[in-house]
Amino acid sequence: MDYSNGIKLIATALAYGLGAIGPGIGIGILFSKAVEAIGRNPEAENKIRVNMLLGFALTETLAIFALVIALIIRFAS
Amino acid sequence: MNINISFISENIFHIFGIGITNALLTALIAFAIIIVGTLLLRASLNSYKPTTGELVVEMVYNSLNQLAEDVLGKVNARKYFGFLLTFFVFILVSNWLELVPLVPGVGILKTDNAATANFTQAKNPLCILSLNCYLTPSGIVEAKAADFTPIFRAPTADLSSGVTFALISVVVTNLIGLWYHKFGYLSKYLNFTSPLNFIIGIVESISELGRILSFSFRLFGNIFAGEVLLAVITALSLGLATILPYGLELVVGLIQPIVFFLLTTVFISMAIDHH
Repeated sequence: MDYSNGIKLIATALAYGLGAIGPGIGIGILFSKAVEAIGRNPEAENKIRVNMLLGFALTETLAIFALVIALIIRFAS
Repeated sequence: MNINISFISENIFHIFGIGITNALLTALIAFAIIIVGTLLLRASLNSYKPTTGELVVEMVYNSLNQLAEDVLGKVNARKYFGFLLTFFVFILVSNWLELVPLVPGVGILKTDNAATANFTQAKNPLCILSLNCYLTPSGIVEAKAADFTPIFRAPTADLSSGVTFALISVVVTNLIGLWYHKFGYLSKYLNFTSPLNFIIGIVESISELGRILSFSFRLFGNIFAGEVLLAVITALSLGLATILPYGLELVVGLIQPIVFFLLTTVFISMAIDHH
């Protein structure tokens, strides 16, 4: 029996599912620290927001890499 | 589900042997929007009674200028802001073009096999709701999604545009560093003063290549995944629940150019303040 299609579907799901754990935790930590910093020092909100968005984009990239690999497995192989 | 998702943009037609893809067509439309929009805005500039469009553009321009000045300093920000703002405007328009209602929907039904060139007419017109048939000028026909080619597709949903932006950004950043430090800049990558510095130089050059990869995949992944998400949720819920990913794509399409702008600014400032 040929299980390759089934294995591809499992691989797609696992690829993104496991790959989103890390960035999810990371983004949660990032935003919680940013909000806490804004609460302590409301005047520096602009600077904090700039660095927060920068950090968010860099950590979200890792989740996007995982998503792209999942899509490659599902649709292009 | 009869959805058409493909990584690679399909060719619509060929000119002189070069294929014109649907992403290229939409990129030309993005150019036209930007040029026409800028000319219209310029014709209606008025200091005494500013229009809403002018105020929005001024707000965006001022906040981005403030960001660039915070990172680069006033003199350098003045020099490089045009380059950076171009990235922002083009990526923003390209990202938001995937949200225009008929962008993945209007297309060409074509087959390669002349024997199946006559699609069968659908027996029940309501099969359009279940996405198994397509509306053509000659009636509703049954066709598979593999035969359908959309004419329009968000330009940034194509990996080529992401790689182009990444290459331009990284090459220009290194050229700016060369302009400022005039061959002393190469000591960032090839440093023979000590073995430790040599290894640090090699790690720096690998991280430059990693930058190209991460720039391109960030743009491509966000927008392509957004298109897939919109297509799947529209297919599953007959178009009722589409507003939820639509909002997400609006926000993501706005944050990505800001991030590109910020990262390029930071890398330019790192190249200028090398020593």
